[in-house]
Amino acid sequence: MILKKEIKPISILVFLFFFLTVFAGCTEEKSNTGEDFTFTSLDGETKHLSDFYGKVIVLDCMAVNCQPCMRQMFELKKISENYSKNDVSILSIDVWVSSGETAFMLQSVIDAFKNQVNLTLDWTFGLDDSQGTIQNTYASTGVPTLYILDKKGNIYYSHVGYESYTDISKKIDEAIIKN
Amino acid sequence: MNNKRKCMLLVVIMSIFGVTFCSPVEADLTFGEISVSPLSPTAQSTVTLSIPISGGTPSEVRLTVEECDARTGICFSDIQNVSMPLISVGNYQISVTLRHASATYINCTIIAKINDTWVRSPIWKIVYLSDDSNGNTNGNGNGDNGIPGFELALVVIAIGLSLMLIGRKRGK
Repeated sequence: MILKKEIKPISILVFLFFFLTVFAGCTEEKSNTGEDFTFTSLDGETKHLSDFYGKVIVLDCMAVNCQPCMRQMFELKKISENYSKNDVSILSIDVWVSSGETAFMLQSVIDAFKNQVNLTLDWTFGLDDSQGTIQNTYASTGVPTLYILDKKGNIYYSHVGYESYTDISKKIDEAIIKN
Repeated sequence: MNNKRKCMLLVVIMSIFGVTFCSPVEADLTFGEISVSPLSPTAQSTVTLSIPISGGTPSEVRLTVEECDARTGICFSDIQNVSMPLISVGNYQISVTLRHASATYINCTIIAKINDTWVRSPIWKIVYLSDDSNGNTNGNGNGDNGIPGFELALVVIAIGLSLMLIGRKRGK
């Protein structure tokens, strides 16, 4: 009888533990695996995210009509300058194609950086499809959305909104060490 | 490169960018200045935007409104793309209700369809939103601010219940 009395609160505690464990995970974000996607490069080629596996990938989901995304370019340029291309690939994808952005608009921005600020954005640029497939998977909240994928293509880090070089580089370093 | 200089450069880039590829293909169509009412709208309020267009009668005029949060450096993805009806000769107007509590400015662009070709207005309008609207200034627009509210409440309740049960048992 005494044993039964002691078991009751313990069973309640066990129940609460499992209840909390299950519900505490409700706001967990998406899985850690970077879903492969197809994009169109500026020269019209069809490419895949998986083409870049084997290096740490900095995936920048951006848009032309987005001021924070333009600011982000300065930070990405620092990454391009400070990391070996054997270690890190930068990939900027215009995810607002479904809102009317085009390859011509994206190329104009790259040209404007080069001609007006003398900044060559020397990494891969591409465009989402007109259905917004990449936007829906990777940048549903807004742009810029930045992802760092490890060499196996798993998402190591993600951030919505502008981010400084210092913060991005810390995560890149961790992702490089991880592999 | 300091931040002030970067901002200046960005303004230059965006201006050139606008003039370069937003120039009307159909030279006849002339876009006037986009006007906004009220002059200082607030987040999640209804804003009326108008534009005079001359030099032709477009078959359709569309307005795109992007909401951005300058503090976190985000432009939200749920862009509003609405048709602007003709309200008087050469004048197009539409009211839109802004969606994001944390938005600090909106970016408005206009395109018009003439002879089956879409022509983009060379000037877009950035409207800064009044501060007093942003009761939820820390939000990221989707209601999740990363603070464990629901989970924390459950933990506190669980601890309370456990203590009560243990206390009762000991009392007996």
